[in-house]
Order: sequence, then structure tokens, then C-alpha cells
Amino acid sequence: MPMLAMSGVRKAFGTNVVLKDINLAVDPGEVCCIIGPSGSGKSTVLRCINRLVTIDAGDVVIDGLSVIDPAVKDVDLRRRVGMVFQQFNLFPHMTALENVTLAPRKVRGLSADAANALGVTLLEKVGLREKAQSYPAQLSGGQQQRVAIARALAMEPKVMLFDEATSALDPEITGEVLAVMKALASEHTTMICVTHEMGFAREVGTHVVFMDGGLIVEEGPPHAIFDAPQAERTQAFLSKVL
Amino acid sequence: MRDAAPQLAHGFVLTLQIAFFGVIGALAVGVIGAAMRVSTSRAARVAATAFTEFFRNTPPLVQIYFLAFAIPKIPGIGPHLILPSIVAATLGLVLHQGAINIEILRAGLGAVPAGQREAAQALGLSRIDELRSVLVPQAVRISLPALGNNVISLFKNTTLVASIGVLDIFGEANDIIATILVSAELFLTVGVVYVICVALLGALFRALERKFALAR
Amino acid sequence: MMSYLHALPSLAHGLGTTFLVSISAMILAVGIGFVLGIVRSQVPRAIDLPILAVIEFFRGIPLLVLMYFIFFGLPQLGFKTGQNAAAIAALCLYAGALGSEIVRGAIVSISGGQTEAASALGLSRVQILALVVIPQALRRMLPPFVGLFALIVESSSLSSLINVTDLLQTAHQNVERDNDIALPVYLTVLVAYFAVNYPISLVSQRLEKRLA
Ligand SMILES: Nc1ncnc2c1ncn2[C@@H]1O[C@H](COP(=O)(O)OP(=O)(O)OP(=O)(O)O)[C@@H](O)[C@H]1O
Ligand SMILES: [Mg+2]
Repeated sequence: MPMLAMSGVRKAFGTNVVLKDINLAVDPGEVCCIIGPSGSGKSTVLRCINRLVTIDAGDVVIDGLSVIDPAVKDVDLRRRVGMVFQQFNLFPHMTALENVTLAPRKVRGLSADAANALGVTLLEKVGLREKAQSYPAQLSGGQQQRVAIARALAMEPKVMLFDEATSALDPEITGEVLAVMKALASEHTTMICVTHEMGFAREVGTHVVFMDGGLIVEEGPPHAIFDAPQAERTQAFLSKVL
Repeated sequence: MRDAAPQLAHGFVLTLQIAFFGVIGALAVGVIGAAMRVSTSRAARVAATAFTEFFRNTPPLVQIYFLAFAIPKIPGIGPHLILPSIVAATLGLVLHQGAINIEILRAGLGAVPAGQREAAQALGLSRIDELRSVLVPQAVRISLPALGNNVISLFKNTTLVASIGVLDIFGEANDIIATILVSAELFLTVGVVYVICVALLGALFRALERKFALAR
Repeated sequence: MMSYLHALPSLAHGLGTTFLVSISAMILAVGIGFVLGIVRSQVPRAIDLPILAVIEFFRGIPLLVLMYFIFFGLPQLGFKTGQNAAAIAALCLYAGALGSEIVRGAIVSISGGQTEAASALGLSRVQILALVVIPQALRRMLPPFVGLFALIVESSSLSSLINVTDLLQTAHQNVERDNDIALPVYLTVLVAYFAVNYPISLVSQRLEKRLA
């Protein structure tokens, strides 16, 4: 059974139909990379998964829970899904450790000690243990994004969503964030990454999805998409970005 | 003039007490009202908005008069609602400055970047935790300069309580003038005391702003 | 009830005095605000500091104390003023101090890049100010000046305490004559102030949004 299954998902903002008919399955341990031009609906796909936006039609089933089932509470979905944003969205009034331990304490009900132990372990994992007491403003962009990844991992989610996690970073520091993501992939974390890093998609992705105009135009293993794209629009897009 | 000092000092203590309770009360009104204005209940939002608009758009002096002189005339329950002057006066200040605080805090909540709310929701925080742990601490920091101005404004408005016979520092000054005529000096003295207090409050709030500055 | 109806014409008259005091104070405050604001935006810091001290004094002293000083205190020093004049003087000093901050802030916010561009065109300093900076700064000043007018109307109620027969003082007099009409009379006064100030603050907010 797939970890995530989207079927016939439709979403409109007012009259602007952003997702037309999205069908996608992601198996446990897969790294699914979504690529496509700006405005094609990539971020919206991610946001449907944890109900940051509610879909108009179709269904999204994550770890057996359906987002359209009214009996499934927001918190049930969000505990299973970690999300990393382009702009990091760290809480600026909290230290790195406080950012990471907030959800374990408030959502998972861990004691302060247990949450702190978990937080330190996760900061260690992203290579920032010594920055535990720093505030976001005292960290570089790459460091902030790594804290944000640790914060999402602290939910012990089933799926990690990355929305252009490196797009706001200077080119020379995207590497440290990509390295953390690569390490997660090698531990068989289920990941869905919206990305403009074609190198990452080709090397780390197990599955690549090309979106345009609210539809999945083409999908398949990386070598198929990058080396032998079938659809004209995929070819046009790749010739521009590669 | 020297003889007036003890009486003025006595009044000044009362001024500080009124200001203290006024600031606490106005902050409580501000927090509760702002929470109502972002709540999911339409009735709560409408009630809080009506309160804000009415009390910040009417003069605090008129509110004090209303509480002191009009409320006791409400048929039936009025006679049970006769407030001591000092309570009516403080309450008037709390209503006016509280309404302004609601507006300040609501604007502060609106100024927290949308990504912060999204991040809080994506972590699975409840609406209450989202407000308490993420949005309110940032909104308060954003609002700090305006809140400081409002505290200063309340402090200056404590002079209004003298108009219904409360003997704060300004009321004591009036009382002294009624007996001996030294008003120019006396009002200047009272004025300078206020100017110094306002400058101190201003410095205090600038220090708070620096301490809690949100570097992004 | 009859007595309440009889009070209405005098309340209307009182409202007229409130407008008279408020509008006079506003006109003077705008004048003071522009003069001080423009001067402050142009002079070096050493000259600006004493002006700032005076402004901070008038912002820090409670309006009521200022009003009493002018009305009760100044005559002892040989300056006699009528109650209306004293009320207007106190209001315009207070609002003028706030107004000068509005003007200075708006001018400074425009000056930076615009001044450079204009001096590159060979305009003199006065020309830059009059032709380039101030016309643009006016747009920024408009919303806070509208808000300042609402503050003046609200604050003009204090003039009742030095016996200006404004709206509040008229209400007070009517209630002294017949205590039983206190509730409807003061309610009328609250509603009247609201009816004046709510539209003004709405306009200020709208302008702020539109010009932002
Ligand atoms: N909350 C919203 N309200 C209205 N329109 C929205 C909202 N969120 C997204 N849209 C619109 O939906 C369309 C797709 O947006 P989305 O963010 O999903 O695209 P994207 O593929 O992630 O683009 P990008 O690469 O620029 O991030 C855009 O036209 C956008 O304007
Ligand atoms: Mg996007």
C-alpha cells in the first residue's frame, strides 16, 4: 500500500483552477521529486497533503487517513507529515532548540526533558548541536533551514515534504541543506520534494514528477524523465533549466 | 509653594496607583478584545469590533462622566451601580485606552508573517497553542512601540480623574489653588513632574523594545 | 423627558462650539506643524535638539495641565486669556507638537533618493524642497493629519473644564438644572462624539490604505 495516494485532486482559488486532476502514489521509502514551471501548482499539491488547503474534489490518503474524512482531525494528519518551507519560517522569538521542541511538547505531549533530549539529538543529526541556544537571526540561511528540518523531524513524521527548501539560499550554501536531505533519503525516509535542483532530483530522487498547468504531465524514474522525456512540454522545460 | 509639596506628593501617589491599575486593566481589555477579534465566532468578532470603535472614538472624559453621573440614573438597576469616583474614573480610562490596545494588538497579529501561522499549523499545534506560543509573542513585540505610547497616553489622561473630584496630583493642585492662589508655579510644577515621568516611561519602553527586538 | 427635549437645542449649540474650538486649533496646529517640521528636517542636529526638547515638553505635559496653566496661571504673569482662546492655545500647542513630527517624518522619508535625483538636475535646495519633496510628502501626511483632527475633537472635551461651553459643558449645565436627564443627555453626548469621530477615523484608515 502506498504511503501517500492522491486521486482526482482538484483545487481552485476563486475562479483560478490551480490543480485540475492530480493522481499520484508514493511508496514508503520513496523520494518523489516534483519539478515544473512557476505557478504550475507544485506548492499547492504539498499543502493539500496536510490540509493547509482543503481540496475541492478527489481524495488524498496518507498512511491510511483520508483528508476528506471529517473524523480525521487536523492534528492526526499533521503529526504524520513534516513540512519544510522555502522561507524556513522558524519562530524568531525562540531558540533553535525551542523551535525543535515546541511540537514534541505541545502536540506529542512529551515532558520537557524528553523533548530536549530529542531536540538535541535532532540538532546533532543536522550538524547544529552547538547552535541549540542560538536564535534564528543569529544563524545563516543554511543553518536556519537545517533547524527547520530538525523541527519537522521532531514530529517523527511518516512523510517529509520539502517546498523548494534551497531556493532562498545562496548557491554556495545549498550544499549543506541538500546533504542533510540526502542523508534522510539514505535512511529510507519517505520524502516529497518540490525542487529546482535538477541534480538532486536525478541523483537522489527515486521518482520524478513533472507538473504544468495544474496537471501531472509526465512521471517516472529520474533517468527516464531527464534522459528521454516523452512529452513536448517536459522537453521544453528541461531544455530551459538544464 | 513649599507648603504645597506634601499635598502634591500625596496626590502623586494616587496618580501612580490609578495609572498602575489603569495600565493593567487596559492591557487585559486589549488582550481579551484582540483574541475575540481573531476568534472563529462571528458574534465575538462583531462585539469586540463594536466595543473598539465606540470607545476609541469617544472622549475618555465623557466616558468618565457617563460612568459617574449617567449610569446611576439607569431606571431600576442604576442606584445599585453607583461607583466610587475613583473607580468610575479608572474604569473610564481602562475603557478608552483598552479599546486602543485592542486595535494595536489586532494590527500586531495581522503583521505577523503568514508563514509563521502556516508553520505552526503544519506542526499540528492547536489554535490555542498557535496563538499562545507563536502568534501572540510576536504580535506583542511588534506592537510594543504603540503599546508604550498608549501607556504614556493613559498616564497623561490620569489628570482627567480630578474632574470628578478625585484628588490625584492634579486634583490636589486644584485644591491648593482654591485656598491659596499660586497657580502659575503650581501648574508648571505639576506639568514638569508629568513631563519627567513621560520621559522615563518613554526610555523604559525603548529599552524593552531593544531587549525584545525581533531580528528576522 | 420634556426637559431632555428642551436640552437638545443647547446641546446642538455646544456641539457648534466644539467644532469652532477644534477647527481653530487644527488650523493653527497644521501651521505650527509645517513650520517646525520643515525647519527640523533641514537644520543640523545641534539646532534641532532644542526644538525637539520643546516639542517633547508639549507632548509630555498632560493637555489638561497645559490648559489650566494657560487659563489660570498665565493671568498671574500678566497674560489674560479668554476661556476659548486658552482652550484653542493649549490644543494647538499639543497638536502642533504632534503635527511637526508628522511633517518631519514625511519629509525625511521622501528626501533620500529624491533629493539626489533633483540635485543632479541642478535644482537649488529650496526648489528641491518646494517642488519635489513636499508635494510627495503631502500624500504621506494626509492620513495622520486626519487622525490628528479626530484626536483634537476628542481632546477638545477638556475645554469644558475651563468653562468653555462646548458640547460636554452644555450637557453638564443641563444636568445640573435637572438631574433626572443625566442618562439621556450623556448618552447623546457620547453618541454625538462618536458620530463625528468615527467617520473621521474611517477616512484616516482608508487614506492610509490607499496611499500606502
Ligand atoms: N492561497 C491562495 N489564494 C489564491 N491563489 C493562490 C493561493 N495559493 C496559490 N495560489 C495560486 O495558485 C497558483 C499555483 O500556485 P503554487 O504556489 O501552487 O505554484 P508553484 O508551482 O508552487 O509555483 P512556484 O514555483 O512559483 O512556487 C498560482 O497562480 C497562485 O497564484
Ligand atoms: Mg511554490
